[in-house]
Amino acid sequence: LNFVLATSASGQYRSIEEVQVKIEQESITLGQFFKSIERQTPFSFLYDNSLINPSTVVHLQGKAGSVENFLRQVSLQSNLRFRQVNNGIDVKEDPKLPFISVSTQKDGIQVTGVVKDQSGAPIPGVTIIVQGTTQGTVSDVDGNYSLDVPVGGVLVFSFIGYEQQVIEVGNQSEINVTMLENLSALEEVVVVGYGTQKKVNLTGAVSAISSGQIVNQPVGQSSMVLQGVAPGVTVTQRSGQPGKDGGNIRIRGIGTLGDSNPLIMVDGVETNMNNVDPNEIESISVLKDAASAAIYGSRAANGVVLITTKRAKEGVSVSYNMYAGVQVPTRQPEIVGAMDHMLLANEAFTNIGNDPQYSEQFLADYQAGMPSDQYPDTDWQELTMANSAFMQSHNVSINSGSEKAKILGSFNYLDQDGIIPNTSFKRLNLRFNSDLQVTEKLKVSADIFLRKATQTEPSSGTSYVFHWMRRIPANEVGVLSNGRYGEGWNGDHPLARAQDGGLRVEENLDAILNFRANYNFTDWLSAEVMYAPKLWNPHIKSFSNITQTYARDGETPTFFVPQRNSLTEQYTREWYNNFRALINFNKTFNDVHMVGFTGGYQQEDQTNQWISAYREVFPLPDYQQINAGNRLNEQTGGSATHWALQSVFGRATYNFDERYLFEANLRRDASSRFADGNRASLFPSFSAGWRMSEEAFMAGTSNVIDELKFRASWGRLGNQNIGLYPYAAFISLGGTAQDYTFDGVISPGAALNNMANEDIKWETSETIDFGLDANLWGKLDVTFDYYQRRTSDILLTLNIPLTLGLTAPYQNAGEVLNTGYEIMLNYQNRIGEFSYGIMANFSDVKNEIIDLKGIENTGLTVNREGHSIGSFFGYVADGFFQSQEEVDNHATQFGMIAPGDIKYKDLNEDGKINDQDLAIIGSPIPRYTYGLKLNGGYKGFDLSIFFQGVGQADGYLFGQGIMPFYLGGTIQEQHKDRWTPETPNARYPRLAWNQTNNQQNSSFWMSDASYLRLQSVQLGYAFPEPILKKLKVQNLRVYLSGRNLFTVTDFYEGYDPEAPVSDGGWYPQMSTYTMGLNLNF
Amino acid sequence: PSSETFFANETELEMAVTGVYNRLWYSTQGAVWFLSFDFASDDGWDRNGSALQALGRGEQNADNGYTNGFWSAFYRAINRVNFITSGSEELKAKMDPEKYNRLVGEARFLRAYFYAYLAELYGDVPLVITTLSLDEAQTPRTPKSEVIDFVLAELNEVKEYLPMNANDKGKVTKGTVLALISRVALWNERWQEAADAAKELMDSGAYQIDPNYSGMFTFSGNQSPEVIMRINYLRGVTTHNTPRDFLSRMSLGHSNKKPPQDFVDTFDCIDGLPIDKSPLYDTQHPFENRDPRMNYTLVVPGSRLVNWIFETHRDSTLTWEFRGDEKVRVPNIEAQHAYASFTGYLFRKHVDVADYPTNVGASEQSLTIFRLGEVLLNYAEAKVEMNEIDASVYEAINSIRTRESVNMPPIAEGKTQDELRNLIRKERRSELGMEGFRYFDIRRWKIAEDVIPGPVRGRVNRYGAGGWLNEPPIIDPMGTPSYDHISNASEMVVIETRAFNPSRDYLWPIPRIELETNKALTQNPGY
Repeated sequence: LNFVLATSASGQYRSIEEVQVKIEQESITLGQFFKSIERQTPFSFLYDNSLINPSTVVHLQGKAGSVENFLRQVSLQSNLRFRQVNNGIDVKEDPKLPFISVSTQKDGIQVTGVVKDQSGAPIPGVTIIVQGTTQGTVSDVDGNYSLDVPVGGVLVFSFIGYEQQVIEVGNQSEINVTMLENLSALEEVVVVGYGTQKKVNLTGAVSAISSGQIVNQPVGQSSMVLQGVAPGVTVTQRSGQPGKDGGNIRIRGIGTLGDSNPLIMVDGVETNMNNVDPNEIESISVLKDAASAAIYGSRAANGVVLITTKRAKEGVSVSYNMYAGVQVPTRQPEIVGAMDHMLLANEAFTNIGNDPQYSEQFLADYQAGMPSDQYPDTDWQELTMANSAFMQSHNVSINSGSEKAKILGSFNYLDQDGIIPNTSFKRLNLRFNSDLQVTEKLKVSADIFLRKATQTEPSSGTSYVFHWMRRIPANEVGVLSNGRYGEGWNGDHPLARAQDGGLRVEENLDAILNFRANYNFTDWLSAEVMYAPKLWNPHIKSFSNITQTYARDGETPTFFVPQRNSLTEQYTREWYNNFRALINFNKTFNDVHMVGFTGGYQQEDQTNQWISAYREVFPLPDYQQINAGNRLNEQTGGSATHWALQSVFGRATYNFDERYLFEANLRRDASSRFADGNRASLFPSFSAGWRMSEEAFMAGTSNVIDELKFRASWGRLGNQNIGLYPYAAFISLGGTAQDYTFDGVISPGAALNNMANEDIKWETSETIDFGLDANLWGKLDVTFDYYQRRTSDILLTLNIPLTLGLTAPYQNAGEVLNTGYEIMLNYQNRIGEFSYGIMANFSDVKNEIIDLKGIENTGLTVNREGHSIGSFFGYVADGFFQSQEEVDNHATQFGMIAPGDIKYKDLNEDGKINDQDLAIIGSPIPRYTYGLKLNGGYKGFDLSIFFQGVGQADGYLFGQGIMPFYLGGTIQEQHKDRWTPETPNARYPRLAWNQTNNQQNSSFWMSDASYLRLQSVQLGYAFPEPILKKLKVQNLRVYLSGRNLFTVTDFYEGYDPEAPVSDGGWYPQMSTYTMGLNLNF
Repeated sequence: PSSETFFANETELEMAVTGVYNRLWYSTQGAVWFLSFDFASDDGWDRNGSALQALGRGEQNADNGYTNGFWSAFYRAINRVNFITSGSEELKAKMDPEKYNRLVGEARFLRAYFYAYLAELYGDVPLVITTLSLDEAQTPRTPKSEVIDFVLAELNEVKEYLPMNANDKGKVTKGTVLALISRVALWNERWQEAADAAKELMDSGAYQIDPNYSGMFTFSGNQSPEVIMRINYLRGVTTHNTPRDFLSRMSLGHSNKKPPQDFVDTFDCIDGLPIDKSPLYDTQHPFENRDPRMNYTLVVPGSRLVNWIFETHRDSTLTWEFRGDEKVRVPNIEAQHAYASFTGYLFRKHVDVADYPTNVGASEQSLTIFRLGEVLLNYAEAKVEMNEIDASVYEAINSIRTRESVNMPPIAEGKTQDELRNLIRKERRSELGMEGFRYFDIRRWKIAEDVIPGPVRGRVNRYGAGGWLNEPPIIDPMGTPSYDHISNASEMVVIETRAFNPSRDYLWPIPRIELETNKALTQNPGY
């Protein structure tokens, strides 16, 4: 690693030129030669036995002379180079060094000190050199250094990723240095497919995210840390439920009609990103274009996210990071009270010509008697939901490393409660990353990762709970005065089901073992083999208990849900094998031709098997084990699947003087998911870069343009996520879709249900990308990319004639085009002790289906040629009818129409509104996504503020989520802004009971889902040195953090703009307020 | 196993045939398929804002989920049969040919059954009787008459392979085949064939009229001498939720599907006269002295349902609960619930109170799809249409009417063809109510255009008002009531207004997506 020999010479030592020796032999072994000189002089030789063979014979001319004279002769006959360091003579085998060097001799003083980063953490491995000399040292694991410096010397501190610090020693004997992070990211090394590259040499579109941007964020699921931080990476969070509050990651939009999830690799193993704790992550690279992702071939079409976990450094240290806080829902709908519900229901009844549902007398009695068991006024949301939920995270990591062996043990615990009863997520991650330097050339790494994640929710599911708490009118009883559950809605009762309806507990055990052996044949040729099996062992146990509800007298039992208690238990075991071998070649010829090659072979296969058991009627519901249930109607299930993938791949790079950059990738994948003959496919990519800033003609601008690079790439990628064996037709045996019963006995059935398509082949996407990277004034990084991604032969189940009676097979039929651009700006500067930074990113992607073979689906969301994937499809609303005359003159609509109802455009002008008038009305795909991060630091304080948003997206809610009195449900406060003759410009239509006109899919219920969100704010304080010394710690920082603090949006009142297309029954997105602590020993 | 190697032995054939029966479990819009039709007829209404409700209102289009569902479900079932008939030929030599014929015969029966419904609903449909490849799937529509020819020919052939076994109510038997022939032939005005098949079944003596009418629609229907075939259910495999759909809220149901006032008023008084003619009809006690089949089919206010007196008037905030021999006053959910009293009536047929309380949402009670009562009425109607009116016609009708638990006065001989035609039509509505026939009857008689349009009404149900109509409705000879003349007709609940377009609505739309995937198809007129 960073190995600089500490050299310090002073007047007491004599130079090798001055000291004379005699050696009699003309031929002598190196060992004898060294010994002979050591006997005659105060010098001693320092060398590594493994590098130098002492029995090598050298020939000497002349029997006497200076030591220097003899060393020079030896050096000429071998590759050995000598350097005098005081009385030591350092021997190296390095042809690049001068034959002999002697340290200058000067008087100096010893300087000691500590090197730390901005947060106060010690930095090991910082190179400290006396300017203009080769004298220097390296800081140890605690950041300490000690160095003899000549009088008037100047120290230069340098470390990768940090700005060089130049300090005049003067007469100081202790110099403590705070290293400042390198403000130019272009010097970074970036993790790329099967290796790393200097960022300046990148020719593909890669976004790199460092651990600093990830840690201390109060997110349970790591996917959320990607939200807004990288252009072209869209993360959408559709739920706030603990354990399910991860985000959907879309890289450069949606490329396919099938699975659009990117490939996530953690240390070279395909894994769910959310399995990793943010504290474990060292860096994230997002490979966006085909050039950078092609080396992952058949799984890279949706982009690749590479995650590298932290590894040990030399020395011993312990760190502890924690945060704790509360989560509160961002937005929730306001639902009317009992009186409002009934008055408005009466209005809805009378509006359709019926009598009021509630008589005047009844309402008067209600008003007088409310709230009581007889006349309830239930706020179902308040009844079921807590105001806030607790959340905490703890991370302890222990670093122990020597030159030979390094071990990092990391322990993470996350505990996240839900805002409804019996809802939580707990996760325990253990990681041991170890590196052993077995010999100088052989390095072995062994990593062990274990995870236990427990997801608890009511057996009815959280969406059940949210569905009903927003559906049941306030004039139904929640909890009776005697503590029993009121009837709810025919026994459907959100609190009863959440609290006493039994639990669904999903416990996931994951283990990944990762063994790697790396052998350096020479400094330009190395090889690596990796075997990394992965085990996934989820266990799901769901006990559905009976909840009994009571009539308003408190005594009469009414509905009970479900009708029988039951237990379902399922075990799954998934075993994934991953073997790979790599060879790496990297050599520079004539100083300017840098040639690199990476070649590899990879083989993966996965077996998944599961078994489940079910019994119902548990007379003692507290004993929730299968054996405690009634054997009548016990049920079992089980199945297994297996797939395999075999790949060879390679990457060749060439650059001329780091000025003209070229790269080519090629991968060949063979997948078991296709029939013989179509199994294998090739995925190539080519890219090139030109660093214009390195050209001589740019010298005049170098005070402004530090770096300017143009990139271009083309590549082809595949997608194999199409189910396991879609090419084969199998008979389904057994199950509810095949079985029947005769005489009360189950009779096993069989059927052919799916049509097969033996001819299916790989879905491929071709991407071209033009990019630009620049660094201006050494402070502003600019990255721009424009791309076009065309996915063709999309594997999709195109509708086939239903008369075939089979489920449609996959066909290579679709074509989708994504066109987009991305801009990233990063500015870092410092004024005195105040450092600050601004990061801004902006991206857009336009998604268009080019070809679907003319098939046009219907429904609320459709895929149609010429439009984006999943577009909303419905009637075009054209305000409300304002008069009966207007109703009469308009095309006929749905049911009984009256003024105040939604008017739809008669697109084909045939006088009636029907399916011919449906049109594409919007798209849920986010466009113009952006992020803006501001951070500043002053002395011990640091502050970061992060905004994130979407410039254009449509959202859609339906059913009771947004429609008043939907199927007899209740109504929200916002619906009071309804059409009446007096309020013709209201937001919502007239109230109508059980009428379908206003409930049609239409642009009326679509809402602008663009938003600007204050995604996170963090204020931290690092305690200064004197306090740390008293506390005997290296570093202590405390912080306050808030996430998802406020949102500016025109979306529906009460709902988060990231709402899924739904009827409102989902676990709402959460705001999180935490305080945290970072501590290093 | 793969499709290449299947039908290697008898067990595989048996399993494949079972897989065809499995399709009888098709349910749609919360209802078992054969029961669902009538909610779009003048006998019923689906309150769920569903595609079925849209069909009832005459607002169906080529994207209607309910109508499209049958197309794909039935072709799915048909293809399971095609897979057997196309693939199992070689097996015939390897097993008992009689057993082979019986098994394949059951499957072919079911294919004919589903084709008969497809033709009735859509008119001309593609007649696919072998396994097709994707390239062969561009099949045009076959004229309805040819489809029916195929159906009847198939049924007549498999009839010989199947045993007449009145004890087996789960499997297709010779009785089932004869019953279906009579139904399909009748629906297609092949009167002679309908009468012949019915006669063959009647003469076989295998089935007799069940003195206990309502027993045919409960668990005891498995032993009914009249029931020919039922769809079987089994907890743990598939159950149905008919009780949940039909029962009141007091009895843990959701009462999703409702009968309108119209259906209630079609039932005669026990003197055999319609309510507007019978001296026994009392407007203040409209449910007294009525054809017992009204109560067997429907739940009317004041009658007992499970443990409660069913009351739906808005003012009846209390009702009676039976606790053993005691009768106690309890709060009445039916009147207070926002959705309780749409029409004020419920369906009772097909619900066995034994399912209360724990199986209301998951009943394994078998559902009757073929019974002798229908066959007798098929016979009578076919004979009347052929104008071969003889004693056997009266005997067929009267054996139903005079069964012990119904005990309605027999129809006297000497009626004209027209009179008898109307009597039979009315008899079908009373006898076969909510068994999935009404929807087809009003279409084949072409009276849907008369009975469907206009408001769907419930009972009089206004706060402080009496609750009953001031005068009886006028009942036409086919049993269809009209209310416009009644002085307080405006007090009746109107739950929706329906339309029927005779130039379009007698046929369902071919699914739009099917027209896109199969270019050889044409759409029905008006869609």
